Amino acid sequence: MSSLLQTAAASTSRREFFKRAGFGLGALTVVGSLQACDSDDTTDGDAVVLDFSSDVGVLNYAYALEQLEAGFYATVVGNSAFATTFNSDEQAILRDLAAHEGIHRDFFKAAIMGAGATPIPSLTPDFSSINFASRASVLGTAQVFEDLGVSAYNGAGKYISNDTYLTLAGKIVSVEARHASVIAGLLETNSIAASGQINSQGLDKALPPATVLSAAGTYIKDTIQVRNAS
Amino acid sequence: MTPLLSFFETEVTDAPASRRDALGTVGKIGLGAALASIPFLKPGLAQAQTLSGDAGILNYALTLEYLERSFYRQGTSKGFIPSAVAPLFNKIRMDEEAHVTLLSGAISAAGAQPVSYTDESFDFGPYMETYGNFVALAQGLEDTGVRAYKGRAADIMSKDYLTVALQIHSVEARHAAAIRRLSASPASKGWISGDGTTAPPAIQPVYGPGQPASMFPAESNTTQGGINLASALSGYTATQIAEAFDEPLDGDLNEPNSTVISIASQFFAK
Repeated sequence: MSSLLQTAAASTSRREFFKRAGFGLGALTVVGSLQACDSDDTTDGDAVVLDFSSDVGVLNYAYALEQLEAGFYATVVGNSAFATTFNSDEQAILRDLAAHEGIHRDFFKAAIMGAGATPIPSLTPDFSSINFASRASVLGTAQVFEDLGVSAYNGAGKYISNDTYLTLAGKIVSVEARHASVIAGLLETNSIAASGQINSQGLDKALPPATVLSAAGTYIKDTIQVRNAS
Repeated sequence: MTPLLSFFETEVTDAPASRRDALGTVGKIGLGAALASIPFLKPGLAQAQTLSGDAGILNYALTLEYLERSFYRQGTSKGFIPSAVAPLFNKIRMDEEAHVTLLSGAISAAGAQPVSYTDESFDFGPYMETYGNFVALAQGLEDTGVRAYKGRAADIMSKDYLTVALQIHSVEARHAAAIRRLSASPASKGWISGDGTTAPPAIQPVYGPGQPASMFPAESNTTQGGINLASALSGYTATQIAEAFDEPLDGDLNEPNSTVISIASQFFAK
């Protein structure tokens, strides 16, 4: 048996185990899945560990990515050059995206706390590579974030054992995909995704958490590690 | 052969449907009764695993993909699509064609029988008469697809099928957003804003509640994970909150009255 197949078989068994064992929201704990230090520091960033052996680790992963997106769009719409950099259609879109991502971020924090678990700290963004007065820079970065978000949710779904959380992730990922499509259309007429994002089988990307966090790391000062997501 | 299909074929001896059967979670309705109740499924297709377990969910998805493929094949051959947006609809048509090929192959590889339809299996009536009508239904069918995949994702037992379903689900959402931008008011909205009551009557159920509404709320829903976000979060309108979450919809080939099947049934040729 190939190692790929062994991995798939093992992971499938785990999902079924969780489903059959009836692990509900109340059974979720975050003990040992989060190590944060220096969490009050707003400049240097924290060291965060996401443990995918529990759903809380996956929810915190989503929370981290939503923090990044929300912080980005808040900076976009708050920039003094916003009204002169973007036309009215683009401004309306970017304002909606700022609201949606802020809602996603705030929802995950509330949901994690509601499950009796601990959300990761507020992350410290690093947007130094982005020119917020440049349409191309902002929309290009938006495309990266939205496609990365879609790829991240698609890749993380299989780690979620609780059906309610899986459906919630589904409710959000399709909105991220709508964002990604609209941004792609602003960058190139009739486009719905960055080149290479959808393959010849008509499939969007599904990326492993380590790959996503490596790409996102460019924009986050904190160090985020993922465990038990093989 | 594509890597994904070859991977699926390695799974034949460990078909997810049979694992689900072993758990005793087979559908309540017998296969024969189920087939007899669905006018558009030919009895000759009846084989074990066709409608139950993961294969049943994949066949449900495949049915919707055939519907979409036919819709775009018919529409892109009518000549009413403006040249400025023809590349978009051709791209979407090709994605739906690829989804049919992929799902059909995956179901066969799992040892089950894929459903099969032709472009003539579907009749879109007035929606194939004008570009405006075509766009209206395109938006409705894409939003239906997004809700349909979302509504069954948690039922999929195999992690590999789940991932593929998610990868299709987000592509349907990309389609939905691009099409919505062609006719939305304001045009900035690629996301579902409001409850869809401005849609043509045949399409309005796409945006309403499913069965049960507690599990499949209308798209205007603002309660997520048991949290009333309209009151729990500050700084956002209810419209923004509803836009930020797409909702699942119930659908099952074994349940002709399920919401998605009821919507799709309108377009099967009599």
